[in-house]
Amino acid sequence: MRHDPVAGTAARARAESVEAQPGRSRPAGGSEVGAAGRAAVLGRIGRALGRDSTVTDPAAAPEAVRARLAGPTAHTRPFVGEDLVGRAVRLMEEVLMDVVRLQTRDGVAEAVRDWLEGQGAHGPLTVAPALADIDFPTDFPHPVRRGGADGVEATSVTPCLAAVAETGSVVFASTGATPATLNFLPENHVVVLHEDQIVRHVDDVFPAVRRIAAERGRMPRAVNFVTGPSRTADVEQTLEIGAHGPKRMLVLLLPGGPPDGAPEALASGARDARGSAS
Amino acid sequence: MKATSLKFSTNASGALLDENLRAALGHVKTGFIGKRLQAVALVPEWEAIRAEARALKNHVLEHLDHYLLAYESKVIERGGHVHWAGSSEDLAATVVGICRGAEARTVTKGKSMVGEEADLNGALEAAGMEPIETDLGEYIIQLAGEGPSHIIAPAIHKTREQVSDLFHAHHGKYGLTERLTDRAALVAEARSVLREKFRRADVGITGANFLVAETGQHVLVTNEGNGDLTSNLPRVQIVVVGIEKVVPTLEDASALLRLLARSATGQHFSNYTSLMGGPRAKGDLDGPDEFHVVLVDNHRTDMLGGELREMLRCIRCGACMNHCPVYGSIGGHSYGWVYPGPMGSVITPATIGIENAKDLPHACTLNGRCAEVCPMSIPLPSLLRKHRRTTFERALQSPAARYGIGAWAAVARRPALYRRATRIAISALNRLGGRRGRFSRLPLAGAWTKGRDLPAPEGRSTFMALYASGERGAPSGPRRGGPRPTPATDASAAAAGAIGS
Repeated sequence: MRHDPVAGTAARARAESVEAQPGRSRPAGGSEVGAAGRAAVLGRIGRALGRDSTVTDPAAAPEAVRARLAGPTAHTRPFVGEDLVGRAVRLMEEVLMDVVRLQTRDGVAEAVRDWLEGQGAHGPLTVAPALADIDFPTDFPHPVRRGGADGVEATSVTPCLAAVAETGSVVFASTGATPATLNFLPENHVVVLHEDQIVRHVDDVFPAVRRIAAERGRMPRAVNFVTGPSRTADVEQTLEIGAHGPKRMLVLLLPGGPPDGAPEALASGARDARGSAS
Repeated sequence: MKATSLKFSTNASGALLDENLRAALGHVKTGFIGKRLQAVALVPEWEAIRAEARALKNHVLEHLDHYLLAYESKVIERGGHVHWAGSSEDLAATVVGICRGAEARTVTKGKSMVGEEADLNGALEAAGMEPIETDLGEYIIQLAGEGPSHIIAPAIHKTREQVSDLFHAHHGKYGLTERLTDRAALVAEARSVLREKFRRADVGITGANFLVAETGQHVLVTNEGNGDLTSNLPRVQIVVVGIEKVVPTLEDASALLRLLARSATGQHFSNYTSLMGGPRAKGDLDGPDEFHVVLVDNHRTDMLGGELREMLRCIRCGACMNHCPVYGSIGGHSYGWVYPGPMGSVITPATIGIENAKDLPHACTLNGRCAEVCPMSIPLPSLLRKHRRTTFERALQSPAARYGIGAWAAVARRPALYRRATRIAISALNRLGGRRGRFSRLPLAGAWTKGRDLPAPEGRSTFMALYASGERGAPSGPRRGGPRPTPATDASAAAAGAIGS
C-alpha cells in the first residue's frame, strides 16, 4: 500500500463514486473550504440531526448544552485511597521517574547536582524563571541560565502546577515564567513538587487551571500532564525510553506548599480540591 | 490515501504468506492484549466509567453543531483560526493553503489518522514542501513509502531488521554508516535525526484526541513527546481533527482519557497528555505565532444521519483490532485504507463508498470480541451486519455468493424442506467421511478446507431427527475427526476466502 504519488487520483476516483451514488450527501465538484465549508458541514449536521434549519450561532445552544458547559459533570472516577502522596510516588516510580525527598527549597541545587552526577549527565542547565528563589552556587558544575529552552541545555529545572495521585502525572501550565518547551526539549527534566500540590484525580487539576484563567483573563496556552520520561514501543512493541522528549526525570518532593508569592502558588486551587471524595 | 480495499481478498492472501508480517503480528498478542487486561483489572469502576462515556458521547452527537460552535467561538476568542473542511480534499487544500501562506519549507507532523484520510503528505510534497512524520512508527512507514497498518502503532507490521534496513538505506545522508541492530540504537538514531527537523520546521501539524468546547482547547496524547514538540516549536501550529471529537468540558475529556490510555496501551495515562489552544500570548516565552484548527467532515455527517451513528463514539484506541483474530492474521494493510480491523471495516465503506470496500464487512467471524473490549461500547458486529445487508441489497457481491445465499435462504425459510435436506446431507457426509472421519477437500468449500479439515458428522441423523425419535440424554461418543481448528485458522480462512466470493 503506497502513498499515491499523483495527489488527487484517489480523490477523483472517490468523487466519481460519490456522484454515482444517490444516498451520499457530498455534492460532486464543489469545494467546501472556508465559509462555504462551514455552511456545508453545519448544514449537513443539522439535516442529520433532523433540525428545521441550520444552526450557525453559538448563542443558539439549548438549555441542555448550556448547562453542560456551565457546570462540570462529576463522572465516576477510579478509587484512589487516602495516601495521595504515597500513591503518587509509587506510580511515578512505576513509570520510571526518580523521586527524591527534600526538606527545603534550599536543597534543590545540591540535589540536582548529585542526581546529574549519578546519571553521568553533563551540559548546561536552564532554570524556569518561576524558580527565582532557588539559588545555584557559582561553583555549580554545569553552566546555569534562566529563561525558556534554548535547545542547547541538557537539563531543565521547573516548578509544576500539580501532581496527580490517580495517574502519577506531574502537571505544568505554560506562562511567561514557566515555558512549556522546558518540559520537552532537554534530555533531563527536574521537577520541583510540593506535597500539597498533589491532588487526587486528574479532574482535580481543572479547578486550578480555571483559577489561573480567571486571574489572568485567559487559559494557559498549554497544560501538560507528563507521566514519565518519553517512551516508544514502535519497534517490535517493546518499550524504549527517550524517544523525543526527556530521557530522564527527577521529581524533588518537598513538604507543604510552594512559598507564597512563587508563581506556582497560583495552583493553590489544587490544594482545595485535595480533599474531594473519590 | 489511495484505497486498495477492493482488492481485499488478494491483499489478505498475500499477507497470510508474509513471514515478516507473521513475526511482527505476534507482538500484538503478547503486547496490547495482556497490558490492557491488567490495566482494566485495576479499575473496578470500569463498567460504570464505560457506561457514562457512552452516554456522554451520545449526548454530544445529539448536539454536535452546538458544541462545535461553542468550541469555535472559544478558539477565535483566544486568537486562533477555525477552518471547516467538507471532504478530505478540502482538508488537504486548506492545510496546503495555510502552509503556503506561512512560506513553509519544512513541516513536522504528529501522527494523525485524519491527515492520512487526506494524504496530507502527498499534498504537501506536491506543493513543494517537505513533510516529516515525527511519531517513530509513522516516520518508519514514511521512509518505507507505506501507509499505517494500525491506528496507534502504524509500523507494527515491521520487524526490527526491516527498520534497520530502512535506516541504513535512508540515513546515509545524515552520516549513518554502520548497520544498527538493537532497538535502543534505532530509537536514538531517529531521535537525533528528527531533533534537527523539529528545530527547522516552519509549520507543525498534529491531530487531536478531543476538543473541549468549554475552553477552546484540544487534547493531544502521545508517548514520545513528538506531538508537543511539533505543536510548541514551529511558527505555525495546525490541528486537523474530525468533527466528532468535541466534548463539553475538561472533566468530560478526562472521563474519556481514562478509557483511552488503558484500552490502547494499558497505561494509567499516556506519557504526554496535553491541553493546548491558541497562539503564543503576550509575555509567553514559547508557542506558535499562528494557531489553526481544521474541522473535518469527510462523510462523518453521513454516519451521523444514518444507521452507523454509533461509530462516531470511537476514540481511536485500537483495542478492537488488537482483539480481532482476522486483523491478527492478515495485519492492517490488507484492509486497503487508513483504518484497519473492525472499526476500519465499518468506517472505510462509509467513507470511500461501500462499492469500493465491499469485502470488508464480510471479513469478520462475528465472534464479538471487538464489541466486548470497545471502551465506547460500539456494537461493531451489528454495524458490520448493516454493511453486509447493504452489500446484498445493492448486489455488490459476486454472483456465486449471491446465489449461494439466495439458495440457502430459500431452503431455510421452508422448515420441512430444510430438515429433509440436512438429513440427506448429514447421512451422505457420514457415509462419505467413512473411517477417516474428516474431509480435506469439499466442492464449493475450497477456501474453507484449504486451511483445515471438515470433521464428518458422527451419526447418520440430525439433532432434530434424534430429538423427535426420543433419543435424548444418551452420552455422546468420543469425538471423531481431525483436531479442532484454532481460531486463527478460522479467521484466516474467513479473511482469505472473504466467504467464498
